Amino acid sequence: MKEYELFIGPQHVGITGNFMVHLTLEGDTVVSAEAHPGYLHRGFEKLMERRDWSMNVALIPRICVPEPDVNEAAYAMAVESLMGWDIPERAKYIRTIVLELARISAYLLAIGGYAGTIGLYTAPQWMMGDRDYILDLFEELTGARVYHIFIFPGGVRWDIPDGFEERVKKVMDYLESRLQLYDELLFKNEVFFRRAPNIGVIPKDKAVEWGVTGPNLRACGYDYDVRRLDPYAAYEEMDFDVISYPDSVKGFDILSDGCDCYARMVVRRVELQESIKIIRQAVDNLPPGEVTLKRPNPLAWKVPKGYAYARVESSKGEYGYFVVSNGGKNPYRVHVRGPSYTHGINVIETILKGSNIADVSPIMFSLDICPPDIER
Amino acid sequence: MSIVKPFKALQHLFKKPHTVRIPYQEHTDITGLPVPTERYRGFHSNDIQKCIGCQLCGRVCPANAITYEKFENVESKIKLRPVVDYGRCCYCGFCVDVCPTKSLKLTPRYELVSPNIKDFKFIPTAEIAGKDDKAISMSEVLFSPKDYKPSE
Repeated sequence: MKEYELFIGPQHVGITGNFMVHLTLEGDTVVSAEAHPGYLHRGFEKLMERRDWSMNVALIPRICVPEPDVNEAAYAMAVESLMGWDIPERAKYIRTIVLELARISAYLLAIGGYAGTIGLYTAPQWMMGDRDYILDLFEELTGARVYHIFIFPGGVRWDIPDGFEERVKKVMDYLESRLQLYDELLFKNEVFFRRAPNIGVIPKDKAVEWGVTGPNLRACGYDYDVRRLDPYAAYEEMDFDVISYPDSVKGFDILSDGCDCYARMVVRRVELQESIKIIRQAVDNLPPGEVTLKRPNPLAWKVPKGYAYARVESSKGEYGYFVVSNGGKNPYRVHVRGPSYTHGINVIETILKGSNIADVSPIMFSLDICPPDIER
Repeated sequence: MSIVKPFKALQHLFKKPHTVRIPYQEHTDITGLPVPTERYRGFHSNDIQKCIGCQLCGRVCPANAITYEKFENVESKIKLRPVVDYGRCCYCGFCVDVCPTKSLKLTPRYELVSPNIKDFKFIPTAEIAGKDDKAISMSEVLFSPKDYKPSE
């Protein structure tokens, strides 16, 4: 049969953002796929070299729109390790709460987006609505809904407001009561059972070689989680399970050998529960004290010469910041290791081959690609 | 799988919708607390008499949104006061953190509608803080130091 070409994106309901995939098709089957990023390139790494150390905190959340806090945390940790700062215990706990709330809101977006691509349109509506309660919490804590600019080198910018713990617990109770509804809507739905297993399979032996991280790697059966292996913030004191498919996804049917859309989405669903668990522990055990070190004048930071790498576990995978200082006013070089770069370019081009055209969008959403982070 | 299961969806017909009908309904969080709260980072307010014109806010601004205009009828030695360009401002609040007199503040007010792009560059005054209305009007802000009349 004659081959033909199809462009999905940059403006298409089934694409994860400003991003395009150029498909060559034979009938309904994808013969080859080519990722075309570049619609969101803003040159963050270069911009950071021209701004003061403290000013960069306002810039970096924009690297990942659905989950901006991981950038702030990774940058702050890198700067702290260059400065040799040890941040207060209370700041570590507040960071944990913020990062986990951000993870839940990013997972709700990802799961809702995936459900939309397989035709279950109620799920994205509900999840967007429930995500709004988390954005309300962010607004009370940080003063902004999406770009929080809250985690600062040396701690966090403000202490939690009065009664915030109770409100967090109330939102967590509410979300936990909603999880059962999500299961009925998506995870125990016949449509999901038929359209997710064995679709978009990443070969298990190639996953590490390709640089797959985060829930996508855990769906391949590896229990790799930066929160456990290289604990940051207050994760060392938290009691939580690293979810890997198929060993630790209790209560869900094992319909495939893993590495596929089904495994990736089920891992995210079970991790929602773990995040709720972590937030409850962090709120209950919040230590008293200061939330930030006494920071020097933001216009004249003396960062010693050297380099540092800090990494955090985001909802998309491992996020890393490599920061080089030559002792000057600005960073000499900042490199961002984003998870979507590997997932969105190499992995997607390989695993889309041979798939059905209707599965292109679900595969992309199940990998949870974030185009702003591909281009940076 | 059960044949009755789809009918469970009917119970949602009698539930309250998620959507908030602004401005007829107030936006509240899960406990009924109205949002945005005081901590919200919206438009600036600046007490022009308390401000000393140190220009630190302009130096710390990551978006270069703050410029200065000279006021005649203020007491301090330096007569410059900040003008904020809301086409550039990213509402990070670093200018407020660095302000030595705490005259510059961010308010929970965030709505400004104007057909003229020049209206988004204005001199914030102290009157912007302390009003419940989320929208600010053109009469509350200054576009030129000549419009400023110090209160008694």
